[in-house]
Amino acid sequence: MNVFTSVAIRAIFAYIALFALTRIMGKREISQMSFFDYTVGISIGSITANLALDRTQSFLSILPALIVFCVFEILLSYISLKSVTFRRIVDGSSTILVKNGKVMERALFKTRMNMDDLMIKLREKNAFKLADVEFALLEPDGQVSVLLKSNKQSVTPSDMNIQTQYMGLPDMVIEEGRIIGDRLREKELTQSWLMAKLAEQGVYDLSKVMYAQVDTSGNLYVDFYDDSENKKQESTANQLILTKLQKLSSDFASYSIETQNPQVKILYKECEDKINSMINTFQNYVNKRSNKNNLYEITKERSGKH
Amino acid sequence: MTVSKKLKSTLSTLEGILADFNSSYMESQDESDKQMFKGLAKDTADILQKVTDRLSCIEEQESQ
Repeated sequence: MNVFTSVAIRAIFAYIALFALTRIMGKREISQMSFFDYTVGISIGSITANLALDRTQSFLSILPALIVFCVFEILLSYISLKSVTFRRIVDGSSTILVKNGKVMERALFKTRMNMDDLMIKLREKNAFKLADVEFALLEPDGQVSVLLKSNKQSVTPSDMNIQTQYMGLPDMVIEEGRIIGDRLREKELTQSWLMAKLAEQGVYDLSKVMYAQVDTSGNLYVDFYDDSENKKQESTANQLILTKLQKLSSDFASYSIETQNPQVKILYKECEDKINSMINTFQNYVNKRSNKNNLYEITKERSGKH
Repeated sequence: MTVSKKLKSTLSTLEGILADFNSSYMESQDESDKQMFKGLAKDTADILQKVTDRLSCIEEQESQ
Protein backbone atom coordinates (compact mmCIF):
# COMPACT_ATOMS: atom_id res chain seq x y z
CA MET A 1 0.00 0.00 0.00
CA ASN A 2 1.46 3.37 -0.82
CA VAL A 3 1.97 6.14 1.73
CA PHE A 4 -0.95 8.27 0.65
CA THR A 5 -3.65 5.66 0.90
CA SER A 6 -2.37 4.25 4.17
CA VAL A 7 -2.23 7.71 5.82
CA ALA A 8 -5.63 8.60 4.38
CA ILE A 9 -7.18 5.40 5.71
CA ARG A 10 -5.53 5.88 9.12
CA ALA A 11 -6.79 9.47 9.20
CA ILE A 12 -10.33 8.37 8.43
CA PHE A 13 -10.29 5.80 11.23
CA ALA A 14 -8.64 8.24 13.65
CA TYR A 15 -11.33 10.77 12.84
CA ILE A 16 -14.12 8.26 13.46
CA ALA A 17 -12.51 7.02 16.70
CA LEU A 18 -12.06 10.58 17.99
CA PHE A 19 -15.60 11.50 17.05
CA ALA A 20 -17.09 8.47 18.81
CA LEU A 21 -15.02 8.93 21.97
CA THR A 22 -15.64 12.66 22.30
CA ARG A 23 -19.36 12.12 21.87
CA ILE A 24 -19.26 9.57 24.69
CA MET A 25 -17.32 12.00 26.88
CA GLY A 26 -20.08 14.54 26.44
CA LYS A 27 -20.42 18.26 26.84
CA ARG A 28 -19.08 18.59 30.37
CA GLU A 29 -15.49 18.82 29.21
CA ILE A 30 -15.84 22.10 27.39
CA SER A 31 -18.38 23.70 29.68
CA GLN A 32 -16.30 23.47 32.88
CA MET A 33 -12.79 23.06 31.72
CA SER A 34 -10.21 23.11 34.48
CA PHE A 35 -6.54 23.35 33.57
CA PHE A 36 -6.30 19.58 33.94
CA ASP A 37 -9.21 18.94 31.55
CA TYR A 38 -7.58 21.31 29.12
CA THR A 39 -4.29 19.40 29.09
CA VAL A 40 -6.12 16.09 28.83
CA GLY A 41 -7.92 17.47 25.79
CA ILE A 42 -4.63 18.46 24.19
CA SER A 43 -3.15 15.02 24.92
CA ILE A 44 -6.15 13.30 23.33
CA GLY A 45 -5.66 15.50 20.27
CA SER A 46 -2.01 14.68 19.93
CA ILE A 47 -2.62 10.94 20.42
CA THR A 48 -5.17 11.11 17.60
CA ALA A 49 -2.66 12.91 15.41
CA ASN A 50 -0.16 10.13 16.06
CA LEU A 51 -2.86 7.60 15.27
CA ALA A 52 -3.24 9.13 11.85
CA LEU A 53 0.39 9.92 11.02
CA ASP A 54 2.77 7.62 12.85
CA ARG A 55 3.17 4.77 10.40
CA THR A 56 5.97 3.18 12.42
CA GLN A 57 3.32 2.07 14.93
CA SER A 58 0.32 0.01 13.98
CA PHE A 59 -3.07 1.64 14.30
CA LEU A 60 -4.23 -0.79 16.96
CA SER A 61 -1.16 -0.24 19.13
CA ILE A 62 -1.95 3.47 19.60
CA LEU A 63 -5.73 3.19 19.85
CA PRO A 64 -5.65 1.82 23.46
CA ALA A 65 -3.90 5.00 24.65
CA LEU A 66 -6.69 7.10 23.24
CA ILE A 67 -9.35 4.90 24.79
CA VAL A 68 -7.61 4.91 28.18
CA PHE A 69 -7.46 8.70 28.21
CA CYS A 70 -11.14 9.00 27.37
CA VAL A 71 -12.25 6.30 29.82
CA PHE A 72 -10.21 7.93 32.60
CA GLU A 73 -11.72 11.27 31.82
CA ILE A 74 -15.22 9.78 32.04
CA LEU A 75 -14.40 7.83 35.20
CA LEU A 76 -12.93 10.91 36.85
CA SER A 77 -16.02 12.96 36.19
CA TYR A 78 -18.23 10.16 37.58
CA ILE A 79 -16.17 9.82 40.76
CA SER A 80 -16.13 13.58 41.28
CA LEU A 81 -19.89 13.48 40.84
CA LYS A 82 -20.15 11.11 43.82
CA SER A 83 -17.42 12.34 46.16
CA VAL A 84 -17.03 15.93 47.32
CA THR A 85 -13.44 15.56 48.54
CA PHE A 86 -12.43 13.98 45.26
CA ARG A 87 -14.09 16.83 43.44
CA ARG A 88 -12.06 19.36 45.45
CA ILE A 89 -8.85 17.54 44.54
CA VAL A 90 -9.62 17.13 40.83
CA ASP A 91 -11.45 20.33 39.98
CA GLY A 92 -10.11 22.58 42.73
CA SER A 93 -12.36 25.12 44.39
CA SER A 94 -12.96 28.76 43.74
CA THR A 95 -10.69 31.33 45.39
CA ILE A 96 -11.94 34.60 46.80
CA LEU A 97 -9.91 37.43 45.29
CA VAL A 98 -11.95 40.40 46.47
CA LYS A 99 -13.92 40.23 49.69
CA ASN A 100 -16.20 43.04 50.88
CA GLY A 101 -14.48 45.36 48.45
CA LYS A 102 -10.96 44.56 49.68
CA VAL A 103 -8.42 42.81 47.51
CA MET A 104 -7.09 39.60 49.11
CA GLU A 105 -3.38 39.94 48.40
CA ARG A 106 -2.51 36.50 49.79
CA ALA A 107 -5.10 34.84 47.54
CA LEU A 108 -3.73 36.74 44.56
CA PHE A 109 -0.24 35.57 45.43
CA LYS A 110 -1.41 31.97 45.82
CA THR A 111 -3.09 31.95 42.44
CA ARG A 112 -0.08 33.81 40.96
CA MET A 113 -2.27 36.58 39.61
CA ASN A 114 -1.03 40.14 39.68
CA MET A 115 -3.14 43.24 40.13
CA ASP A 116 -3.26 43.88 36.38
CA ASP A 117 -4.62 40.38 35.69
CA LEU A 118 -7.29 40.95 38.31
CA MET A 119 -8.30 44.32 36.86
CA ILE A 120 -8.46 42.88 33.34
CA LYS A 121 -10.74 40.10 34.56
CA LEU A 122 -12.91 42.57 36.47
CA ARG A 123 -13.21 44.86 33.46
CA GLU A 124 -14.27 41.90 31.33
CA LYS A 125 -17.21 41.65 33.73
CA ASN A 126 -17.96 45.37 33.34
CA ALA A 127 -16.59 46.24 36.76
CA PHE A 128 -14.26 49.12 35.96
CA LYS A 129 -14.09 50.52 39.47
CA LEU A 130 -12.66 48.37 42.19
CA ALA A 131 -14.81 50.35 44.63
CA ASP A 132 -17.96 48.88 43.03
CA VAL A 133 -16.93 45.28 43.61
CA GLU A 134 -18.27 43.45 46.63
CA PHE A 135 -16.92 40.00 45.80
CA ALA A 136 -14.73 38.55 43.10
CA LEU A 137 -13.99 34.85 42.85
CA LEU A 138 -11.54 32.99 40.68
CA GLU A 139 -13.40 29.91 39.47
CA PRO A 140 -11.61 26.60 38.77
CA ASP A 141 -12.19 27.10 35.03
CA GLY A 142 -10.20 30.37 35.11
CA GLN A 143 -13.19 32.70 34.94
CA VAL A 144 -13.62 35.48 37.48
CA SER A 145 -17.14 35.89 38.86
CA VAL A 146 -18.01 39.33 40.12
CA LEU A 147 -20.69 40.39 42.56
CA LEU A 148 -21.23 44.15 42.50
CA LYS A 149 -22.17 46.10 45.59
CA SER A 150 -25.91 46.10 45.96
CA ASN A 151 -26.23 49.83 45.17
CA LYS A 152 -24.23 49.38 41.97
CA GLN A 153 -26.30 46.55 40.56
CA SER A 154 -28.66 47.31 37.72
CA VAL A 155 -32.29 47.83 38.57
CA THR A 156 -34.60 44.89 37.92
CA PRO A 157 -38.40 45.05 37.51
CA SER A 158 -38.81 43.51 40.96
CA ASP A 159 -36.75 46.34 42.51
CA MET A 160 -39.24 48.77 41.02
CA ASN A 161 -42.21 46.64 42.07
CA ILE A 162 -43.18 46.27 38.41
CA GLN A 163 -45.38 43.32 37.58
CA THR A 164 -44.04 41.36 34.65
CA GLN A 165 -45.76 38.79 32.51
CA TYR A 166 -44.51 35.24 32.40
CA MET A 167 -42.22 34.81 29.45
CA GLY A 168 -41.04 31.34 28.54
CA LEU A 169 -38.85 30.12 25.75
CA PRO A 170 -40.19 31.07 22.32
CA ASP A 171 -40.50 28.05 20.07
CA MET A 172 -39.81 27.55 16.40
CA VAL A 173 -42.93 26.14 14.74
CA ILE A 174 -42.07 26.46 11.04
CA GLU A 175 -38.64 25.82 9.63
CA GLU A 176 -37.89 26.05 5.91
CA GLY A 177 -41.54 25.86 5.00
CA ARG A 178 -42.28 22.79 7.12
CA ILE A 179 -44.47 22.78 10.20
CA ILE A 180 -42.74 21.20 13.17
CA GLY A 181 -45.58 19.11 14.58
CA ASP A 182 -43.81 18.05 17.78
CA ARG A 183 -43.27 21.65 18.89
CA LEU A 184 -46.89 22.51 18.20
CA ARG A 185 -48.05 19.55 20.26
CA GLU A 186 -45.71 20.49 23.10
CA LYS A 187 -47.29 23.94 23.14
CA GLU A 188 -50.75 22.37 22.89
CA LEU A 189 -51.43 24.20 19.66
CA THR A 190 -53.00 22.82 16.50
CA GLN A 191 -52.09 23.13 12.84
CA SER A 192 -55.38 24.87 12.15
CA TRP A 193 -54.53 27.46 14.80
CA LEU A 194 -51.20 28.06 13.07
CA MET A 195 -52.78 28.37 9.65
CA ALA A 196 -55.36 30.82 11.01
CA LYS A 197 -52.58 32.83 12.63
CA LEU A 198 -50.68 32.89 9.32
CA ALA A 199 -53.78 33.88 7.39
CA GLU A 200 -54.18 36.80 9.81
CA GLN A 201 -50.86 38.05 8.50
CA GLY A 202 -51.90 37.39 4.91
CA VAL A 203 -49.85 34.22 4.47
CA TYR A 204 -51.49 31.33 2.68
CA ASP A 205 -48.47 29.64 1.19
CA LEU A 206 -46.31 27.74 3.68
CA SER A 207 -43.46 27.34 1.21
CA LYS A 208 -42.76 31.08 1.36
CA VAL A 209 -42.12 30.94 5.09
CA MET A 210 -38.52 30.45 6.14
CA TYR A 211 -39.03 30.58 9.87
CA ALA A 212 -41.86 31.14 12.29
CA GLN A 213 -41.55 31.47 16.02
CA VAL A 214 -44.32 31.53 18.58
CA ASP A 215 -43.86 33.07 22.01
CA THR A 216 -45.61 32.14 25.24
CA SER A 217 -48.34 34.72 24.80
CA GLY A 218 -49.23 33.25 21.40
CA ASN A 219 -47.70 35.90 19.13
CA LEU A 220 -46.36 34.60 15.86
CA TYR A 221 -43.28 36.04 14.22
CA VAL A 222 -42.84 35.12 10.55
CA ASP A 223 -39.74 35.45 8.40
CA PHE A 224 -40.01 34.96 4.63
CA TYR A 225 -37.53 33.60 2.12
CA ASP A 226 -38.12 36.65 0.00
CA ASP A 227 -37.69 39.67 2.24
CA SER A 228 -39.78 41.83 -0.08
CA GLU A 229 -42.62 39.42 0.79
CA ASN A 230 -43.36 41.44 3.93
CA LYS A 231 -43.88 44.54 1.82
CA LYS A 232 -46.01 42.61 -0.68
CA GLN A 233 -48.18 41.22 2.10
CA GLU A 234 -48.62 44.70 3.45
CA SER A 235 -49.61 46.19 0.11
CA THR A 236 -52.15 43.43 -0.60
CA ALA A 237 -53.61 43.91 2.86
CA ASN A 238 -53.89 47.66 2.24
CA GLN A 239 -55.47 47.06 -1.15
CA LEU A 240 -58.04 44.82 0.55
CA ILE A 241 -58.94 47.56 3.04
CA LEU A 242 -59.29 50.06 0.18
CA THR A 243 -61.70 47.78 -1.71
CA LYS A 244 -63.75 47.26 1.44
CA LEU A 245 -63.95 51.00 1.98
CA GLN A 246 -65.01 51.58 -1.63
CA LYS A 247 -67.69 48.91 -1.26
CA LEU A 248 -68.94 50.62 1.90
CA SER A 249 -69.07 53.97 0.14
CA SER A 250 -71.21 52.61 -2.69
CA ASP A 251 -73.41 50.75 -0.19
CA PHE A 252 -74.14 53.96 1.70
CA ALA A 253 -74.83 55.74 -1.55
CA SER A 254 -77.44 53.14 -2.54
CA TYR A 255 -78.97 53.18 0.99
CA SER A 256 -79.45 56.93 0.79
CA ILE A 257 -81.17 56.57 -2.56
CA GLU A 258 -83.38 53.71 -1.40
CA THR A 259 -84.62 55.23 1.82
CA GLN A 260 -87.77 57.43 1.87
CA ASN A 261 -87.05 59.09 5.18
CA PRO A 262 -85.24 62.42 4.51
CA GLN A 263 -83.52 62.36 7.91
CA VAL A 264 -82.12 58.91 7.29
CA LYS A 265 -81.09 59.99 3.79
CA ILE A 266 -78.91 62.69 5.38
CA LEU A 267 -77.48 60.17 7.82
CA TYR A 268 -76.44 57.81 5.03
CA LYS A 269 -75.06 60.69 2.99
CA GLU A 270 -72.94 61.73 5.96
CA CYS A 271 -71.60 58.21 6.28
CA GLU A 272 -70.81 58.09 2.56
CA ASP A 273 -68.93 61.40 2.71
CA LYS A 274 -66.97 60.30 5.73
CA ILE A 275 -66.01 57.03 4.06
CA ASN A 276 -64.93 58.93 0.94
CA SER A 277 -62.65 61.19 2.92
CA MET A 278 -61.25 58.12 4.67
CA ILE A 279 -60.56 56.56 1.27
CA ASN A 280 -58.65 59.70 0.28
CA THR A 281 -56.52 59.66 3.43
CA PHE A 282 -55.82 55.98 3.16
CA GLN A 283 -55.07 56.16 -0.57
CA ASN A 284 -52.49 58.87 0.13
CA TYR A 285 -50.91 56.70 2.77
CA VAL A 286 -50.78 53.69 0.43
CA ASN A 287 -49.22 55.78 -2.34
CA LYS A 288 -46.65 57.16 0.04
CA ARG A 289 -45.74 53.66 1.20
CA SER A 290 -45.45 52.22 -2.30
CA ASN A 291 -43.28 55.16 -3.41
CA LYS A 292 -41.02 54.54 -0.46
CA ASN A 293 -40.78 50.85 -1.29
CA ASN A 294 -40.08 51.52 -4.95
CA LEU A 295 -37.36 53.96 -3.97
CA TYR A 296 -35.90 51.32 -1.71
CA GLU A 297 -35.98 48.74 -4.52
CA ILE A 298 -34.29 51.16 -6.93
CA THR A 299 -31.50 52.06 -4.52
CA LYS A 300 -31.01 48.37 -3.79
CA GLU A 301 -30.74 47.60 -7.49
CA ARG A 302 -28.24 50.43 -8.00
CA SER A 303 -26.06 49.40 -5.12
CA GLY A 304 -26.22 45.86 -6.44
CA LYS A 305 -24.84 46.95 -9.80
CA HIS A 306 -21.78 48.64 -8.31
CA MET B 1 -82.34 41.09 1.19
CA THR B 2 -84.07 43.20 3.79
CA VAL B 3 -82.63 46.51 4.88
CA SER B 4 -81.68 45.20 8.33
CA LYS B 5 -79.79 42.29 6.79
CA LYS B 6 -77.90 44.64 4.47
CA LEU B 7 -77.06 46.90 7.38
CA LYS B 8 -75.83 43.94 9.40
CA SER B 9 -73.39 42.95 6.69
CA THR B 10 -72.24 46.59 6.45
CA LEU B 11 -71.78 46.54 10.19
CA SER B 12 -69.54 43.46 10.11
CA THR B 13 -67.46 44.99 7.28
CA LEU B 14 -67.02 48.12 9.38
CA GLU B 15 -65.99 46.06 12.38
CA GLY B 16 -63.37 44.27 10.28
CA ILE B 17 -61.96 47.54 9.00
CA LEU B 18 -61.91 48.99 12.52
CA ALA B 19 -59.87 45.98 13.67
CA ASP B 20 -57.50 46.43 10.71
CA PHE B 21 -56.96 50.10 11.50
CA ASN B 22 -56.45 49.40 15.17
CA SER B 23 -53.83 46.75 14.52
CA SER B 24 -52.10 49.02 11.96
CA TYR B 25 -52.12 51.72 14.63
CA MET B 26 -50.41 49.38 17.06
CA GLU B 27 -47.87 48.16 14.51
CA SER B 28 -46.86 51.37 12.75
CA GLN B 29 -43.57 52.91 13.83
CA ASP B 30 -43.99 56.33 12.29
CA GLU B 31 -45.73 58.87 14.54
CA SER B 32 -47.67 60.60 11.73
CA ASP B 33 -48.85 57.20 10.42
CA LYS B 34 -49.93 56.33 13.94
CA GLN B 35 -52.00 59.51 14.16
CA MET B 36 -53.55 58.84 10.74
CA PHE B 37 -54.61 55.33 11.73
CA LYS B 38 -55.98 56.68 14.99
CA GLY B 39 -58.08 59.17 13.03
CA LEU B 40 -59.27 56.51 10.59
CA ALA B 41 -60.20 54.18 13.46
CA LYS B 42 -62.14 56.99 15.13
CA ASP B 43 -64.05 57.79 11.90
CA THR B 44 -64.84 54.12 11.43
CA ALA B 45 -66.08 53.86 15.02
CA ASP B 46 -68.32 56.91 14.44
CA ILE B 47 -69.90 55.39 11.35
CA LEU B 48 -70.20 52.07 13.15
CA GLN B 49 -72.12 53.81 15.93
CA LYS B 50 -74.45 55.53 13.44
CA VAL B 51 -75.22 52.30 11.62
CA THR B 52 -75.77 50.45 14.90
CA ASP B 53 -78.23 53.12 16.04
CA ARG B 54 -80.03 53.02 12.71
CA LEU B 55 -80.20 49.23 12.81
CA SER B 56 -81.71 49.12 16.30
CA CYS B 57 -84.22 51.76 15.19
CA ILE B 58 -85.25 49.64 12.19
CA GLU B 59 -85.49 46.48 14.25
CA GLU B 60 -87.74 48.25 16.75
CA GLN B 61 -90.04 49.31 13.95
CA GLU B 62 -90.08 45.83 12.42
CA SER B 63 -91.00 44.16 15.73
CA GLN B 64 -94.02 46.43 16.10
